[in-house]
Amino acid sequence: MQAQPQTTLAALEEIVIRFAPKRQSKSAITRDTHLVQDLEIDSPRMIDIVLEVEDRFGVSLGDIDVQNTTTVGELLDLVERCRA
Amino acid sequence: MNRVVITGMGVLAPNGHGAADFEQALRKGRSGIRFRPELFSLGFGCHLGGVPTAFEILRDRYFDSASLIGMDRHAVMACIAGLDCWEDAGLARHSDGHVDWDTAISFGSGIGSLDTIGKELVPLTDAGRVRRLGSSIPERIMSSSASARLAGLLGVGGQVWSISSACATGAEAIINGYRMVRDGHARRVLAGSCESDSPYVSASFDAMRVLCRNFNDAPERASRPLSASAAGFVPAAGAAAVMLETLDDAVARRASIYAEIIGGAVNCGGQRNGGTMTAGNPEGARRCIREAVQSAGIQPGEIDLISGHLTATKADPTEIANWAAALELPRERFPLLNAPKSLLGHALGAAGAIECVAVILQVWKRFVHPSLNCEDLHPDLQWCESRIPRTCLEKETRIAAKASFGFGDVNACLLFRQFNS
Repeated sequence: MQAQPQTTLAALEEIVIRFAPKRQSKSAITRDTHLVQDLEIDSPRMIDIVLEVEDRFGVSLGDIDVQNTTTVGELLDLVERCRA
Repeated sequence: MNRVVITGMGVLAPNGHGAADFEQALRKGRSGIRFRPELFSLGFGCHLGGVPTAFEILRDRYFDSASLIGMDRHAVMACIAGLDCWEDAGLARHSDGHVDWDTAISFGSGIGSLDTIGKELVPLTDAGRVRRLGSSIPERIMSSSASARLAGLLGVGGQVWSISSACATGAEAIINGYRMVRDGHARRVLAGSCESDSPYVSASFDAMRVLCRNFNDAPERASRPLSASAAGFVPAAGAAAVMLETLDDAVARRASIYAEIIGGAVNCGGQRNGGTMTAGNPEGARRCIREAVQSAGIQPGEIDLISGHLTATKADPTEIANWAAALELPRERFPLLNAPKSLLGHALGAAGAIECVAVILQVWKRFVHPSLNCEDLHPDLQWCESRIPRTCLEKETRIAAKASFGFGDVNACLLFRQFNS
């Protein structure tokens, strides 16, 4: 059961890094990495991340839920909730 | 009024990337025109194009994936040329909060973002999938996308001016930049233009039957300005940028000075007296050339070289007649004349800037590039046979004139002078 969230996190990392203006190595990203403060992802680019995440995991993320997401961990939890 | 000098160049042309490579291409008469399989597959009449080589490799060397999300191909080309120009000018790039309030941008394209519009915006919108467009479409398709992207990359804080005047775009962008520096509205201006290699850009010209169809099996012979067998232009793409700066600033910071701009003019023929949306009123072009010469404070006889617009269409003899009428020189004193599109094809909005860089290199490095494919000179142009170099001339050009003419009956003409410190 532990493996599934880790796999999801790795996939999320790949997506997030691709859209991050501030380059980070994948290993530098953790659950606590802040999408805006650490990676400088602005709200328009968050829309692109959501589209990628929805395609990758076959989920539909609510706009309000996305707006309340500030860290990679929170995004991960949101995806997991939607998949449940 | 300030004297305006050129202290930086960046060029991404069909036959060369960077000023040094481009200079060699010009000297050797190296054609940038190649077979384009995608145009053949799409059923174009013209299967050829002048496209910067290995563009995708170059793109990925300059920009990471996150940066490219917001850039159409024409803006990528603009930014490669713009960044090269900035570096060549010896200006620092700052990643902190520094804004360069003294520098402005004057940049444009003739067509712009058709690749993004054609491949993403229209298909997804028509399919009712607007949500799938994502966030980056506006920044890719706005008319100011290239100049705005350059401003962000370089931290430019002066006026960011986006120009679009068809095939006169590049020359007009540089003239506007020249005037901004001359009149004290900016200390420096990054000026230039770009055009994408998207098939959507050239499709409409193919439909107009103005692209060359007769030389699909001989790409390097296809662009034939001044020739009796000229059969239409070859579409091209790329970008170029120049750094325009006050002479005082350039000297103070010990910048390399490649040439000086001493005059320029822009006008429209009003689409009267032979002028239409797609053809030029001869009097408009002649007035533009005369005004450029007058603004430079020189006599027509001081011009050593004309870099023509010369697209390899039926308009070429008319253009030469306009130059002759405007300059009013005895035929034996007509300046040397070359046609950069014989090597490059016609890069539409990017043409003016790329060809201005070609002129600056010729003035700076003291050569005159050859005109290709005019061994069968047009009958109306026999009188200027001796003025058209077929091989590279090692020759000093003290003053050179560059003109661009565009749909909408718009005209632009610039005068460059050799700079001697």
